[in-house]
Amino acid sequence: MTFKEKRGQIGWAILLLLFAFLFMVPLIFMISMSLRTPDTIGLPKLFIADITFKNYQNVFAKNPQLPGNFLGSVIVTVSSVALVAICSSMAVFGFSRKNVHGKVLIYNILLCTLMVPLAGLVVPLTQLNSKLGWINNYMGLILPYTALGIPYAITILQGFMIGIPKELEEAAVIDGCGLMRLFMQIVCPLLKPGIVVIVIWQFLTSWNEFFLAMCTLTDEAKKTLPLVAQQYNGAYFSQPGTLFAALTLITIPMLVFYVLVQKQFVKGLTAGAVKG
Amino acid sequence: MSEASVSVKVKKKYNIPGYLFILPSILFFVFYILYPIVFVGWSSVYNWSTLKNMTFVGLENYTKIFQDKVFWTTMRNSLFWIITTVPIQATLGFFFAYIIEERLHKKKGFYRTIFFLPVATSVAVVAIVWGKMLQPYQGIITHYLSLIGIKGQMNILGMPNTAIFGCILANIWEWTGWSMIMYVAGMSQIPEDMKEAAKIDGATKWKEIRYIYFPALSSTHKSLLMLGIIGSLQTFGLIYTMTGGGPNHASEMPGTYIFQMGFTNQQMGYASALSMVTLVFALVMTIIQVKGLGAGDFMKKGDE
Repeated sequence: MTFKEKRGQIGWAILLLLFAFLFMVPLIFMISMSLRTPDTIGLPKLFIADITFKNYQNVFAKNPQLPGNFLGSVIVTVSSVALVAICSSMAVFGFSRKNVHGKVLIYNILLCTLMVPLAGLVVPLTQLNSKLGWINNYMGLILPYTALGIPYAITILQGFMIGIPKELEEAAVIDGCGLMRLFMQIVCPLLKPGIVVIVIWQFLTSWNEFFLAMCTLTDEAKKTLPLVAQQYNGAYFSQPGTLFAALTLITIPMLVFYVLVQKQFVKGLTAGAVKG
Repeated sequence: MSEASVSVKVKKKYNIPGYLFILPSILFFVFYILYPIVFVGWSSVYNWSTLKNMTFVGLENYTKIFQDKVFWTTMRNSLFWIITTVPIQATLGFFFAYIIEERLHKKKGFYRTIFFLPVATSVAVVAIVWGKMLQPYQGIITHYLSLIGIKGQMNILGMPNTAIFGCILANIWEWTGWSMIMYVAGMSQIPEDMKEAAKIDGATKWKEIRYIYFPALSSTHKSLLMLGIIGSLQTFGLIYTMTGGGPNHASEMPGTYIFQMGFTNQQMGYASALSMVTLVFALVMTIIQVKGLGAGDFMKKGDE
């Protein structure tokens, strides 16, 4: 590396570091607010000198239902992630079979869902849930989240499916491999990098979804974490320290989750199949 | 009959297991996408608050919508939202991706993660934190702006002219990381020899971006545009939590207005008609893009 290149490198690194810091300000601010005493809470500063963990004690002491809310979020998210992964990998396998007439049409119809804004569906989905008796029932979120997640998952997996050589499948069939075994033991392992991407993406969207959850879950004990954040916003209006401690507790699990899986996520996205 | 024609006949048969593999996805589509759309279209020609008590009113809800000033505010705000967030998020995301992938040799994973963390943050949390940061006197934004000479304690979210921009700012922060990661994926598809050729020709960095990266990433630009439009039409959590659509409906978007009309005011018929208009608006925007820009390359991937 020449001196000039090295200098250029450092220049880019400093520029990026500056932007990275700017992008971290809201999260730093959130954590900073959660560690303040009533004396320092009103100061318009990003960092403060002395910190307290009392706000966190407050959150746990006054909200015994919080672990239940966390569990609710986990149930909704994990179920819809599993359903999306199963349905979409089955679908792309089906699309790759011969003699499935009209599959291009079916594929395109499914993908039209990508252009449907959820805001336009909240009224009918809430009616559907109330007709099924699924208000305050996690099923009322799991199934719509799955339906809305499948099309995007199919576009991701389709790219990987095309990359699987036909000869491999043919060889398996000649060896007497049945359709189910072909799917489970040959195709699914080959789709794995794509499945990782859709699992992570569906995890983020289901965990954070707000609109439909608000219309479906009214019982405080059942609420998912984004709704809890919204509820605390009103309840702790006069105690911002406690509010921000709660927000931090709600946010940290997801950030840790993403940090742990980001390598797989980027690897899957750059694996050669995703066009954007 | 020759063997060849027999095999042609066999090939024409329907592959039942093939359909069975697609069936679950189709069922989800029919029950949770298609049926709701049909339902909302049907219920938009009634006045109702519960399904047991509906009066047929024909197209009255629609004629009301087009005379409704707040509805036009939601349309104006949606357009505002699209023409500000989409290009800004794409530009920032593009440059972050470019610097990370092509200019850095170390710590790529660190920066990719930092810029993506806002995407992993719940929209309700984003809204509350930004709401606090934008507050006059206690918020840090006006405070730090005043340190660099921009004085004045503005109540950005409290004024009709600026409220929507406060929300847009928070949205840009939340979603720039998504644009970045899409460009990271796109850039990994640009052939190395293309990048090498530009270097050998002595292209400046600006020319390299302009003539190599920008055109090669066209499908990423288009899908970000499409996702940006749909995303803006379904924006709810940010607005609802930051401004509640106010002050006086100034920052209202289709999502918040549908919620207010349907769930707060119990005018489900009107909310259904608003939903229908939003869906049609999304459809029209999609058709314009597919026809005009050739967006939606992925639509052809099912072809073999």
